[in-house]
This record gives sequence, structure tokens and C-alpha cells, in this order.
Amino acid sequence: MDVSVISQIKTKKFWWMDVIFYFATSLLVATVFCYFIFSAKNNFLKDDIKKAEEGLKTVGTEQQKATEKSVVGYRDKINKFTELLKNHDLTSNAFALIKSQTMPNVWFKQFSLDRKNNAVQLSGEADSADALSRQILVFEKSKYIKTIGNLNSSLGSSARVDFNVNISLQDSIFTYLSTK
Amino acid sequence: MSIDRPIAIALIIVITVLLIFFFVLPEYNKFSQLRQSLAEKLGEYDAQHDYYAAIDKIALDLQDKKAELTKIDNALPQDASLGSLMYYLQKTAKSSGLITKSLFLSKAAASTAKTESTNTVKEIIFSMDATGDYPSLQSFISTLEKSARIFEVNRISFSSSAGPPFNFNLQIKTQSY
Repeated sequence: MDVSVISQIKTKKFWWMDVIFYFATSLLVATVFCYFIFSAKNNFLKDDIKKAEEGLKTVGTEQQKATEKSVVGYRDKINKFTELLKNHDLTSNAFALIKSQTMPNVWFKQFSLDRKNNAVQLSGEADSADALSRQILVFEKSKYIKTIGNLNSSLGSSARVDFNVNISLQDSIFTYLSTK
Repeated sequence: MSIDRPIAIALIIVITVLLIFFFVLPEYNKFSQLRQSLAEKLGEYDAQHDYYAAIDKIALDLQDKKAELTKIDNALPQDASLGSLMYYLQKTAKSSGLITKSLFLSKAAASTAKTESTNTVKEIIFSMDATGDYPSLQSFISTLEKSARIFEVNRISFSSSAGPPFNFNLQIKTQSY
């Protein structure tokens, strides 16, 4: 750069030099002003945060927490109760089923119901082999009886037929509301 | 004293830049952080306020439904009280026409099979031997099934070679919370 140009800038007065000077000065003043504005704003914000923190202390008091505990406790209990009720079994339905499906010339001497396996073990007597086969047919036709197994029969005392039979029940029988 | 304009301009710009970098920008960053922090605190306050207001409303609703809650408390009591349970089973058996020969607790343990939440439901299982006729057994089971407390008869077996009275063996399950 030519040294004479620098010397000209130093000695000569240019109108735009004033403009730049005043602009730079205003920029400095604005910067200082901005600093004080942000500083003041920060102080106000700190006060607001303090107030918000104090406000936070007013919610979730001991009493409210106790109410919350009680409500949450009841919510859990209601959920569990609903679950238990949904899975609640009515064993009397199985009795009603066997009673309704038993023919008049058949008697049961032993009865064993295992809810866990939906299994019923029956031992009894029938008037005749014909009566027993009719009884088994009735059981087979029932929509609540899944399978029939371990069927054995023998001629017992007083000319009756002794029999043993294992019945597997449908799960729905324990939830079905029988009208009996 | 006259100020050399170009030098003064350069000085002012340098001071302004320094002020911006060392004072204004840190203060602005602090301002942004504080504003965000205030928004978070106010949001937290509103959320907590709404949450506890909802809790209070539910608590009031629950108070209105006290009768239903009492039923649930009866069905799933907090206190296992095995003594009162045994008394209830014996009393119900007697009123149904059954004679209790033996009654013993076979299981009292926490169950997680049917429920998934953290608090457990305790399963209580009684084994009972009784004698009586078939209608008495039906009446006993029916009374248990209609009871305010949840009872389930898991296993029933009976046998008789010469008609009533029969010997019944029952496994009765109930729960406590």
C-alpha cells in the first residue's frame, strides 16, 4: 500500500470518517447498554426461579403424598381384584354339569374333581351295560366335556355294572354361569 | 486535545468486540440458561400441580365409592387372619349341614401367577375333611362362591359305598393382599 494514502487519511478530514466514528461510538454504548439489560434481566429471572422453587415446595406436601399413596394403593388393589375376579372359578358349575348329565339308572360312588387339571374321576354303578354306554354317550355329547378316558367296566355284585371313567372338562365350564 | 479519528475508531471497535466477547455474550448465555431453567421449573410446577389436583379428585371419587371399596377390601383383605378364616369355614360348613372332621392350612404364600404388579397377593389354601350329604356340600360350595371374600374350591373328592353320609375332601383357596 502506498504510504502517502495513510498519511492522507491522518491529515485530511473525510466526512465518512465521522460517520464511522459515531457509528462505532453508538455500537460501544449499545454494547454497554445490552450488558446492563441482560444483567438486570438475569437478576429478575433469578428471583422468578426462586419464586417457582418456593411454589414447587407447596405442591407435594406430606398430606398430598399420603393421599397419593392411598390412591395408588387402591389403584393396585382394584387392578389385582379385577384380575382375580376375571380368573375366578366356579366349581359348582362342574357339579351342576355332572348332575344334569347323569342318567337315572347310573350312580356314582366316588367323585374326584381336580380344578388344576380340569379332570374329574368318577366311579360308580350302572343298571346294565346298556345304561353305562348311554351314559358315556351323554357325556361325549356335552360341549363342556373335552375328552373321556380310562373307561373300564366290570360286572359287579347284584348284577350291576361297576365302572371307572376319567373326564376332562372344558375350561369354560368354570366360568360359565349355570342357571341350574 | 484532538483525537486521532482512525485510531479512536479502531480503539472503540476493539473495546466493543472485547466487551461483547467477555461481558455481553457470557451474560446472554446466562440469560438463556436462566430462561430455560425458569420454563422447566414452571413446567414442573404445573405438572405437579395438575398431578396432585388429579390425585385429589380421584381421592374424592374414591370416597364417593366407599361401599364398592369396602366390598373390594372384604374380598381381598389386607390382614390374612387365618384364625377368622378357619372360624368362617367351620361356621359355614356347620350351617350348610357338614360336619368338619379336619381343617388345616396347606399353603400361605405370595402368588405372582395371576397378577403382574409389584405388590403381591398372598394365596391361602386350606384342606378340609368333612362328612355330610350331597346337598350340604352343594350348599357349602355355593355359600363360599357367593361370599364377600373370594374363595375357590380347587379340589373336591368324595366316596361312599353305602349312600350318605359321604366323606368329602376339599381344597379351598382364598387370597389376602
